Amino acid sequence: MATAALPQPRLASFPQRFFEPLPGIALLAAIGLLGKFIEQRIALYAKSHHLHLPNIEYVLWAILIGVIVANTVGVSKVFRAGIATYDFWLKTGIVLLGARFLVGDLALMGSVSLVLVVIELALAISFMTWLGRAFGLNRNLSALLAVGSSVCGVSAIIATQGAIEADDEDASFAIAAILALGAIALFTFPLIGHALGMSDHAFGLWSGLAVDNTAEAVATGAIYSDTAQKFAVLAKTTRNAMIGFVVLGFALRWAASKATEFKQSKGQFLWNKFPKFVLGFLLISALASLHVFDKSQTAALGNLSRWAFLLTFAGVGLRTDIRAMAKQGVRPFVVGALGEVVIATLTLGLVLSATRVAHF
Amino acid sequence: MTQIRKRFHFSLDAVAVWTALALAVIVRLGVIKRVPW
Repeated sequence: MATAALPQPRLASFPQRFFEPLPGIALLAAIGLLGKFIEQRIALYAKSHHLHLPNIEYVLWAILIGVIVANTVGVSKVFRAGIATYDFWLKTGIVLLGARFLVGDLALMGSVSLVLVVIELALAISFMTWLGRAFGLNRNLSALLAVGSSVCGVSAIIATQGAIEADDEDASFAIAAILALGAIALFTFPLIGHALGMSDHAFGLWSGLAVDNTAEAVATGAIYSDTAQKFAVLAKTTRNAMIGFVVLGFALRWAASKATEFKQSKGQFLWNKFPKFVLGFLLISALASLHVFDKSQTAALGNLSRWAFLLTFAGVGLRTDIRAMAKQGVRPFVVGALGEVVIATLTLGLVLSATRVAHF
Repeated sequence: MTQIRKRFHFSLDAVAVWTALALAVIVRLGVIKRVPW
């Protein structure tokens, strides 16, 4: 048989699959802990010398160290499988964070977030689509940038790429632009927040609404404060939950433009695209609201969530490849950057207006 | 592996949720009493 001559893919054995990520996870932990160590040393130095230095959260140090390592000495192949687990730690951290939200607070704040998210989605998709056309980007790339900047970054782009049959090249352009802009937001948003004297709550909502990739949105909130991180997670999770509706909308529009029929059940499509970790977050929150955990157990779960985020933030820095981003070309980046600035300004306006109405 | 993933809907989200729930059970049972930060 002809197939017998083809090289057979080598399947990794279970021990190999289990042990392969360990060096990378150890590297994530080492960088995260180094970030924590630097934060504590600076605080101690300021205290012992009676200085008033601004508290720079470990998050920023961990990300900076990761960026420096990845873009100078580089990351050896042995660490790559472990670094790729950062997404797993992010989702585990978000689910565990559910213990720090009571269902009543979630319903109240979630509804505020939902209203803001729906307005943000409408504004961001319309503006990015228009901007892509104005800059002569092809229709698929414009659609991917619109989805990436309105919903949830990389996973939304990948989901939409499948739905509208866009090229890999368009998807990698859009992903690079979204990640580069997320990295810029990490450093600029907290400065803007402090300059405007924003509350932790308002800043967290703004980060969750305006920063596109989940890891960067959570990190931006965490750089500001622990409470801001909580609200960034809430707003970003609400945005993530909308992914199915937005991708479905683009898929239906694409099918109509090709004069073809959308063959899947819409309910099934929405369920397939729904980020299931949101359900885990809601479940843990429901258990906490039913007092399944006492105070010390809730604190323990909150701290486990912090450790999971520590690994995530180190991964955010390590996978930031400045050279690869620079190679992607200027036009998609300019469209993304212009779009992000406008969306960040609009969402900032939305959050500041909401703070006046809801007094938070 | 793909077959197992398909059969048991084994996704990253599911692994993250089950890991978090397992940790919550361990904490609830008192196996882990305190997590320093």
